[in-house]
Amino acid sequence: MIRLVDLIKKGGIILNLKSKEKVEVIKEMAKVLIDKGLIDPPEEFFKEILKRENLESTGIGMGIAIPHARTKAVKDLVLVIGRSEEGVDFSSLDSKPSYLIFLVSAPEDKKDEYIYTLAKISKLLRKDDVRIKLNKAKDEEEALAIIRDYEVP
Amino acid sequence: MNINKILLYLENAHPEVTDFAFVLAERLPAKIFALYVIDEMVIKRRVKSEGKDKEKVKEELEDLFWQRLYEIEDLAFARDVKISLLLLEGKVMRVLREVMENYEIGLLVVSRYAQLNIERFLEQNKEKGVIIL
Repeated sequence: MIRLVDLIKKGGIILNLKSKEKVEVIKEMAKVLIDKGLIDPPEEFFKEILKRENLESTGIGMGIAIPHARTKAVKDLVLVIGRSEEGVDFSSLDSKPSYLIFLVSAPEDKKDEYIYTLAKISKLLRKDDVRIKLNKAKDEEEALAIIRDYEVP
Repeated sequence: MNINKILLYLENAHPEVTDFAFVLAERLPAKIFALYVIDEMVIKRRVKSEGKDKEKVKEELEDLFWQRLYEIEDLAFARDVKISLLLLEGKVMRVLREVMENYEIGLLVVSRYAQLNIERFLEQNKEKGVIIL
C-alpha cells in the first residue's frame, strides 16, 4: 500500500514557493528532485510534464493543482508539495489560483501506482480540513503530520 | 453547431464510449470534460443495502472514480487529446445540466447503461447534442 508520506523526500515540502508563474513553480519544485539526482535528465522530465500542462488543467479547483508526469527521467514514484502564498494560475476549472501544488512523477512502468497516487491525492485534498490545515502549516514536519493523520490506508 | 467541448459522462461507460469520445475530440477537434458524479441516491441505496456508514460509501466511490478518471486521463494524454477531470456530488441530472451550462459544452456522450432518465434530460436540454452509445 502506497503512503503519500513515504513518497516525499527530505526537503520535498516547500511552504514558501518563490515563483509566481506555473512553469517556474514546477521548475522550483522539481529542483528538489534534480538536486538529489532523482530526475535525470531534467529536460526529458520538463518536456513530459509541460506537455501534459498544455493538454489539460492540472488545477483541479479548490486552490489545488497536481502537475504530474510518467517519464523515463525518474526511477521512483516521487511527490513534492509546494505552497504559494499568492496563488498560481494553473488554469483551474474554477478559474481560481492554486495555493497547494502537489507535483507527482513516476517511472513509465509504474502506471498503476502512479494512478493510485494521483487518485489518493485528489481524494485527500477534497477534504476541507486537510486544505485548511496545510495552508496554515508552519513547517515541513507539521505538513507531513497532517497528511499522515488524514491518509486512509 | 460548433462543438469544441465534449462532456463524457462515465457512469457505466464501457471502453468503446470513451474511445468514441476521443475519436470525436481528435477529429473536431474538441476538449473532453470527463465526469463522474457521486450520486446522492446511489449513496442512500448503498447505505441501506450494505449497512455501511454514509462517509465510508462516499470514500469508496471517490477512490474508484478518481482512479478511473486518471486512467482515462492517461489514455487521453497518449492520444494528445485535451482533457479535464471532474468529480462532483449531487443529483446526476442537475450536475449534468450545470456542467453543460457552466463550461459551455456542446455535446454530451453517455453510455446507454448509465442510470439516468435520458429522455427527460433531452426534453430539458433540447439545444444540446447528446450521443448515447
